[in-house]
Amino acid sequence: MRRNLLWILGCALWLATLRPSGAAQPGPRVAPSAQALLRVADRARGGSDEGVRWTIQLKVEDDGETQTRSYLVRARGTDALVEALSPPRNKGEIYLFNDQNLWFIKPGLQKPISLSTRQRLTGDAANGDIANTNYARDYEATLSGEESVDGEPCYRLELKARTKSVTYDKIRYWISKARELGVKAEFRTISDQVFKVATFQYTNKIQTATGGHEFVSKMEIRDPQKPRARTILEFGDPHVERLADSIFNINNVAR
Amino acid sequence: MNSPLIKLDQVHKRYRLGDTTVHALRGLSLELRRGEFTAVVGASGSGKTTTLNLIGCIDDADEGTVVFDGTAVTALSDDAKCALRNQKVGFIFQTFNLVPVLDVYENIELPLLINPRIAAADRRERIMTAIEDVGLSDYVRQVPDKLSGGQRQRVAIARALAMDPLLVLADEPTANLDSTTAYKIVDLMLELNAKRKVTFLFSTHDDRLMSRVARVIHLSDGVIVRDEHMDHRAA
Amino acid sequence: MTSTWTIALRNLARNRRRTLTSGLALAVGVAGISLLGGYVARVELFLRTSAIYLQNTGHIVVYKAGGLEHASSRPRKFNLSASELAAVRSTLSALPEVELAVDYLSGVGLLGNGCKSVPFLGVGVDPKLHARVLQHPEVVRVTPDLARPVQGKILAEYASIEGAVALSSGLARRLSKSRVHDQLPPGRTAGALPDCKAASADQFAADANVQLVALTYDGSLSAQDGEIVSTIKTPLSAADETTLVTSLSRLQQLFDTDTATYVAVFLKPSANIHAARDSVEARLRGAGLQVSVYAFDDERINPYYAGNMAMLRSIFTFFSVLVACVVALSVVNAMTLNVIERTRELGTFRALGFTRRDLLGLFVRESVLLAGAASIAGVLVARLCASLINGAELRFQPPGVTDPYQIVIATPPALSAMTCAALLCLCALSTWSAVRRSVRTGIHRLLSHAAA
Repeated sequence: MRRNLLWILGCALWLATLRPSGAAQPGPRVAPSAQALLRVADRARGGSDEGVRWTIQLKVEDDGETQTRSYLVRARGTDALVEALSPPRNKGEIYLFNDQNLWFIKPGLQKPISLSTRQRLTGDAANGDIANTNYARDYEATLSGEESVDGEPCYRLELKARTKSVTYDKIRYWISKARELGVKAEFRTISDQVFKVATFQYTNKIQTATGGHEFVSKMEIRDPQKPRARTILEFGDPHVERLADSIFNINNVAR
Repeated sequence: MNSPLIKLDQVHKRYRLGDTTVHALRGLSLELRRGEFTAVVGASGSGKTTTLNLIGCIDDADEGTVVFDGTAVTALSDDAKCALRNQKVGFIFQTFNLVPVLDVYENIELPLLINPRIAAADRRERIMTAIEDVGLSDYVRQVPDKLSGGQRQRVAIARALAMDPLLVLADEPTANLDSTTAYKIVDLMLELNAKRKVTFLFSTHDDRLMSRVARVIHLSDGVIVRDEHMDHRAA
Repeated sequence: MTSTWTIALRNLARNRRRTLTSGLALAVGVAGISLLGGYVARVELFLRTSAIYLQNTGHIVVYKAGGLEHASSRPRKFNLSASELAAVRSTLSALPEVELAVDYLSGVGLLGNGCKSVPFLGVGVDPKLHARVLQHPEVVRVTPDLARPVQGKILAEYASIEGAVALSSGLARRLSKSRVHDQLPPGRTAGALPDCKAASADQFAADANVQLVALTYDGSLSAQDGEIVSTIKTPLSAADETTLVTSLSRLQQLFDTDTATYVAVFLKPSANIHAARDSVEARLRGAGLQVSVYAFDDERINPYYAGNMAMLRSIFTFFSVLVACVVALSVVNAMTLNVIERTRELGTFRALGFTRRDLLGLFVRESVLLAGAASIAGVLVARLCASLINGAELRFQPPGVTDPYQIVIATPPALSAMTCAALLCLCALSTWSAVRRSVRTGIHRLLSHAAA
């Protein structure tokens, strides 16, 4: 499949060189590497080496009922500190992602609790979904083709988990060719069953040291088996922030 | 009251022996009166045992009638025949046929066991009388193994008499005894015949015993060839 | 005075060797059935007591309709609400056969020691009622070892400790919690957070504190501290690594609910369990409650009990049938020989006026006497073997059970009586079948049979 693609691309290139003289000759367009694509896409979902901060409004709609929670996320690189803001019952609860571990710290408890990123957070969101996304680090990617998603031409990537401690075993990820943003993800089990589908929107903008870029504004998750239910994460107010190392240290946080 | 105790009329009996059929009795007719002391003689296979069996309701005739004390036995059920045998017939066998695990008293008691109408006291009296009659008062609690042939046959006789039967059937009662004992047994039977007025019919092929009987019926090939009334008896 | 029984007895003595051999076969058969039956009876008692009192089901268990199948995945819809629980309790309190009714909440979550989290299956129950169940006379008599905690005391003794939990031994071991509340110095303050990369088992054993975390019924994460006050044994090893018991209110707090998963109903000893199940279900439904009521021996409630008992009963039945065949054949063999040997004697009896029935009766009496003696011998041998086995305290560990179990053989008189009665009937029948043909043979044929 991949070989065919390259062959087609090669032909296209050659054809391009046959264009009548006089016209401007654009530079050859080579498909970018899967890992590179991921790195760029990750950036728009919080995966960057700079400290970033944003809020999440998480809505779970099921059977006509809606439940809402909100979180404050501070992330840097592969670490993230997620603080629950509402509802009041959960206020002050903290999810600390670092070093492939996930800690849950509840005020009043004597010790933190080790959780798995795969575990359900609420609705169809897993714990790992509220943290920053580091697909480039966590998954091995291969380009499997091109496809349109909602009319937008995308690269299709197959992602395979590098370790057991990442949130999903396999992901099929569509990254927009033009925008270099992940627009759709199919989360799969080891045996390739699709158990969750997510779509992304990027109307946020974040200013960084190297310039501005888009940032994820909405992630909608659905379970193909439950058509009447959906989980929506709305990302708000993303901005860069200097974050001290200590805020990602479990010993500090748990006190 | 002069009606015969036993009446056989044109009785036939056949047996299957493998593939052949043996015609044991061929139209035999016979009458026996009360009090008679009769012997049935003949060679082996002449039908002596068969005749006794039919009279004693141990077997059924194929043709003809057998009337016992006014009752036609062919029509009786098995249980009725059992009752008849129990109450009216006493049996004495060539091989004594005593029950080895019972003593003299108990062997004689056997026919009384199945007769609930006889009270316990009466039962005891009958048995002791029978034991005395056969001269075995000193052997009441002996088991058959400890008795001689003659003594065993006496037990058998006492057993046959315990129910005060009308008829005693003895099939070759002396065949397994020596001559002296044989004579003694026949004398005993004679004595009991006179004393108790019970009819005796026994089969034998011993001619020496003929001198003691009142009537001899000769059988040959299933028919009566001669029916002798003897005028003399041994003293 | 002789009787037919005397004759029968004397006939048995005729061929001592044959009588002894047959008798021995019968006695061994009786002993075998008594022992196996006694073992099965004792196992049944043990499993039953364990199922009813130690596996928290009671004699009968009341679920909301559909609750047994769905409460674990959809507790909001299939648990019994507070008002339903009150209605159930009030209906049950009017029934004379009910001794105790206990609400139970079950749910799953994670249990952490500060570094590691493992799944737990939680049981929430009122500690005082739980104590009553564990200290029930049945339990004390049959399974005292299982009811006693391995470390610490029963939950009810720790009413003053907030978050008191009892863990199964395997679960405590998984979290390296080798000591319980009573074994630690009183008045200590919470320890420092363990360095998870370098933590040793001793560090974890320095306190009895654990964290329980679970998803509430509306999907949010809930957590609470727990203090391990005791470690307990679970009857089945599958549960040994996951069982957590705490107060009903505490578990309800964790799941943010006031419901319960089911109500376990304990009946008085004399009650007929299945009749009670029917009547309780009818009463509760009559009171407008949508419930399903199950007896403890329902395969869906106690598959281990139901499965084991089905297996043991089949084994016992198979063995009994085997023994019955051997007994029947032994008796038929012996009686056939007896008849052959006594053919002429049978003829004599018939000549003397014994009916066929009388004759059959003679033989049947013989075999009944033999069976009677063999039964008594067999039962005595079985009792002797049982006391030897019980005294030897042999132990074995059946699959799926936490601890080795002592082989105990009960000697219920009812079982002995039934076995003896069955043997007598079987012997009489076998004799009848062996003898009846001969008895129907013509008398003259019997008399002319060659003497044995």
